[in-house]
Amino acid sequence: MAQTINTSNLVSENADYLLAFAMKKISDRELAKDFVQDTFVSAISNIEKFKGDSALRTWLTSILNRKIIDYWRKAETRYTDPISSFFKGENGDGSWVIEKRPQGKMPEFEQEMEKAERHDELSDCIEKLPEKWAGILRAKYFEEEKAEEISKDFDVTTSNLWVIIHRAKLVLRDCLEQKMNH
Amino acid sequence: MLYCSEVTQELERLKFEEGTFIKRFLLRFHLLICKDCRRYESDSKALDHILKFQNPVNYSKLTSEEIEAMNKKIIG
Repeated sequence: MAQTINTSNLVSENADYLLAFAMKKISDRELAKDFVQDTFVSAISNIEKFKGDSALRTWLTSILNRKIIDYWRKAETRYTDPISSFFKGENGDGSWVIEKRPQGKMPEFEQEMEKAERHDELSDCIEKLPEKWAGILRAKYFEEEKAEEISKDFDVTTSNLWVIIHRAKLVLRDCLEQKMNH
Repeated sequence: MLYCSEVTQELERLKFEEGTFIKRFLLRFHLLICKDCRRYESDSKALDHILKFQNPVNYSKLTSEEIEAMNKKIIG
């Protein structure tokens, strides 16, 4: 049987929670707000689908999560897999492309992390990654979440998780090296 | 014999999963002879620490104006 929802309090009681959830995955606050707003619109339009077998907030969160996952899927199709840029061979399954060979500068970058400009460079390079990859790096290294939790939050298998981290680190390392070389 | 692209993937994978003895042996052998992949391994370890210095997400609660605006758009 469909449940009723008090729409007058729906936003005020749930918006902050949903925004915090969205911003763990999408760093752009305005975009996250748009997703939260779309979530409320979807919920009200599909109110008959809410059966009350989970808490209202859980239901709203699942709607929001699906919207974010769809957004990531579309964003990823616009992003070229870096593997073929970094490695020779038909499917990027060979040795390093000469221009992309590691220069081994990351330990030096690490030593200089107390400098504000290095922080800015790190932020710039992370911003250039697909949102999903950036979110995963944040969850893994900054928030130190476990792999199983990250897989669930970001809708990836644990075996795909390291694949994404590998690709993200290839691109990130290259970006940071270019910053150091300028 | 592993290619460089496989080696870099394996280096990340082994931080998450156990590898077979053969894979770990082939990986170590490749790293003995490939200076680029040794540099990648060193870079990857440094990046694991660098990434802990990311800026936190700039989250702030919705203001009452933002909530009111959202309510208007949703409910009318």
